[in-house]
Amino acid sequence: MKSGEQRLLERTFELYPVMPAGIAPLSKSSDPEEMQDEQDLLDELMRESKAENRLELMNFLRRPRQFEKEEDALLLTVKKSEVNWLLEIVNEIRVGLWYKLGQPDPEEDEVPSETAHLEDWISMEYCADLQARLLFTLTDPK
Amino acid sequence: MPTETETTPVIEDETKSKADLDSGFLVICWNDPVNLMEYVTHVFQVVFGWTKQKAEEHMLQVHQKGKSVLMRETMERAEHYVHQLQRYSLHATMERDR
Repeated sequence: MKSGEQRLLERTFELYPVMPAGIAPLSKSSDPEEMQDEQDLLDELMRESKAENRLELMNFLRRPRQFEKEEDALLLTVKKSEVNWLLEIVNEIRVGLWYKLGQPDPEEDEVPSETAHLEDWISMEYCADLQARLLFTLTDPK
Repeated sequence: MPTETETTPVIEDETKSKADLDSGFLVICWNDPVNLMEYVTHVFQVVFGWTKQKAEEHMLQVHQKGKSVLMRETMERAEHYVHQLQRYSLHATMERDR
């Protein structure tokens, strides 16, 4: 990657977690009161796992030689064991930004006009690209 | 005057035992326009340990029919799976199997 992409990646990862709280109900059909305890537990587990992920993500970015110079580019090192975890992070940011941007139609590719939204949109699109690259490594781990 | 013994029918409270509550919950994944098909397949493989073929079948069901029933489980295990799927930002819920 180029140094510009490194900045974009760091700025995008800084956003984590993005998904608004309470967006994912445990059940659609059950009486919300009946399952309130379970819903609270799920919300707490999600908060905990995201806090843990954020800590790991910051360590990941600050790891020595994480971005190594290779000729005129930078090489981001991702261990095989980290691919799945990184996919979880990248998708959370992507889906979270999609909600934040008002759930735009992914097929339409409409670029937002407001600057703040534009940055989020770029990060969302970047996550889609990164996700595709990470998924590719699972099928072709070379 | 004959004495009448009134017998009041005893209506048992409809208390549900843990076993009743655990009789079955469906873990369902719902379609959304944002998650990539390859990613959904990958998550199903990771969470359930399925083969790629089985994971793809369920992913296509989600994509084409709007939802797929992934598992029928006890309440506790259904909660576990929903948590796993939601960790990966998939739209998953558990519904009582009526």
